[in-house]
Amino acid sequence: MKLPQRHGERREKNTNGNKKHKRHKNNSMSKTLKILCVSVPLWFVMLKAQMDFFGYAETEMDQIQLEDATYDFGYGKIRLEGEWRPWDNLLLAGNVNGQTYFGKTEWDLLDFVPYDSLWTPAGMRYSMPASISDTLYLDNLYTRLNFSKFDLTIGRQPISLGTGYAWNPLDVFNQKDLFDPTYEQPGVNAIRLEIPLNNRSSVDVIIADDDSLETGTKMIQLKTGVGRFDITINVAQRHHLFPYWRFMDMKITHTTSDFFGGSFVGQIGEFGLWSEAFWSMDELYGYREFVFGVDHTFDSGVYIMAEYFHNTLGATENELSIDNYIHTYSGESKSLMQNYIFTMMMFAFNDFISGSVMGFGNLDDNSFTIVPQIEWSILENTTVSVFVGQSFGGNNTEFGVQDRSVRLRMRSYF
Amino acid sequence: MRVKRATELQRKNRRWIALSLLPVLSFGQIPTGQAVIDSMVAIMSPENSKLIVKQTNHYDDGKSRTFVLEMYSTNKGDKMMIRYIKPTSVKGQTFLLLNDGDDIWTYFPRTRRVRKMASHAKKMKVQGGDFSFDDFSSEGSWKNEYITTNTGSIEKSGELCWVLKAIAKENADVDFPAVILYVRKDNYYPVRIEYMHEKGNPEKTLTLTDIQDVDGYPTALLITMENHLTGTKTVMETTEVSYSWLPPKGFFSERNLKK
Repeated sequence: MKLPQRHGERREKNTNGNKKHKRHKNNSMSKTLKILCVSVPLWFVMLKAQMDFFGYAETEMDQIQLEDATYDFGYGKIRLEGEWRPWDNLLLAGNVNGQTYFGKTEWDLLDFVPYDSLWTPAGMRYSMPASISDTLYLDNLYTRLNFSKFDLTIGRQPISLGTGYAWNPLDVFNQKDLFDPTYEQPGVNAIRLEIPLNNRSSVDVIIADDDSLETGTKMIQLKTGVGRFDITINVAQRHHLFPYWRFMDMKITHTTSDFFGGSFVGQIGEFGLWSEAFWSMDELYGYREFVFGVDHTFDSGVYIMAEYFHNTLGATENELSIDNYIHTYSGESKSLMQNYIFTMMMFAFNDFISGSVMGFGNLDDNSFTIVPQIEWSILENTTVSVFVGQSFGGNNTEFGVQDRSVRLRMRSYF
Repeated sequence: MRVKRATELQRKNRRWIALSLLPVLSFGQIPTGQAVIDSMVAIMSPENSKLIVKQTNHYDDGKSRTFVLEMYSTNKGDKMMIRYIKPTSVKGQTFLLLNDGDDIWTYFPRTRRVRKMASHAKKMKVQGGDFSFDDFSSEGSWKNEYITTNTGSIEKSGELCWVLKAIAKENADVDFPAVILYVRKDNYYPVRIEYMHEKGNPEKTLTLTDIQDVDGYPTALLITMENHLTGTKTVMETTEVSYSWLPPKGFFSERNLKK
């Protein structure tokens, strides 16, 4: 179950169904206001020209039930997107988001940690507070230039990499919510150069600016097609917080590591297959992430998929500590432990109502969550969704710590 | 309805279509089913096409939903791109179908993400209607998956038509074991196609009406697919069509999906 996302924060790790928040240094309210002030004249010019406006309004109500507490919260959100194409080879695009919150807005993310089963120094109890307040912010604002030999995108832009559905080891820019893996990701400040080599091959260079270019994330992706498969080879450099719990006395908090990885997506027979792998090449702090998935659509239209995720940065059953939770919640690790599974079945009751059943679980501590979902297209541009999550597993397990969650969401496009 | 015409192209197309019809122009003889199918496929497969189509899904409870989409194709339908324009909830969603629909890529505008889908996705209904992506793929399956016989002629929709019975070959990868086609004698354009289920009754019926000459090709501007099992109906109304459109270099590529 996700918590509302606050402006200036990127939604971070979520393997136990709870959204966490990582505040970025460069995303203060004042900076947003400055961006707005600078961009208002630009938007005015865009308004005067033929600009395409669209977006959606969304309301969400959530309830999480733990063993000893129940939390109610929610938000109302409006997302106004604009696209302006003064020439065929130039796109100016952006969106403004306004979000108001209700219910519980003060959180301690470690409320979702089973302290009793974890070792902490001298039995200390940690705190990881998160306060959520109403926001108005620019999520994306970017320029895209299409030249004959390459495309260049500059600014805060949506970036989504990888072939996985629930996990994307290659996507070092985003974290997904297992409860809702396809929800839009926040924009990334980046320069992206895409060079097509032929119809199925391209080179993709991404330089993301976190605090400075020096500490930003850089990635080069070579993509090509071989038969029924799309294949990528990726190299990256990332300045990141490394879980110091492995080197407690060294007080190492950040390191710059080189990464190597790749992905494929295609099919064998009637089954779709995909995989991603990403290795840290750092001799001291090396780790590996790997995902493999398979899907199929039956003649009746019923769609099924399954995905397995392995992450050596996660803890093994015997070494799980509070630090693992902190690093997972802060987004430094894509999972708390090492082995996970995600499954889904989708089907249409009729042309207006569709259903799906998701199931995801931690294979190391044997805790799972089943999430049936109904989506009803109540009007041409309005959908209503209901999610109900039921967890299974011991109270000291990742998903078992939460009993049940319920979400009601209504979204109207305009 | 805006119909773009290119006189030179029209003449060229007509010559090519006439040549393709030669196998069935043996005067005084009834053409074989396969010969009629070959001619039908020829006149339904322009080299390039660009269409704007209004898709209206009619449901059994009287409700309906309307979508507007752009459809581009080249190499006689071997490569296709389908992009939704309306309504807003699906605007920008784009599908690229290559190799006769065996390779499919989807573009999701909200995440600006392109993903390759397995070809079984062709079975999915297009926006909940009675057409599947497989229906948009080229006409190759008529030749490769069915054995067709010409059972004679009949008047259908005010036109003299050949009545063809197509039976699926053994192990053919098709949804329907038998199909009845009504193909006009004068130009080999189909006016009605009945898709039979295993018990021999029509499960779906495709009706092609308002047939006009566009750039030398007969073209149905109104196509209706009725599903007799569900009581639903999907109408594809072509509001703009051009066969003289030439795809820019690299148009049918993943790069162009994002533009």
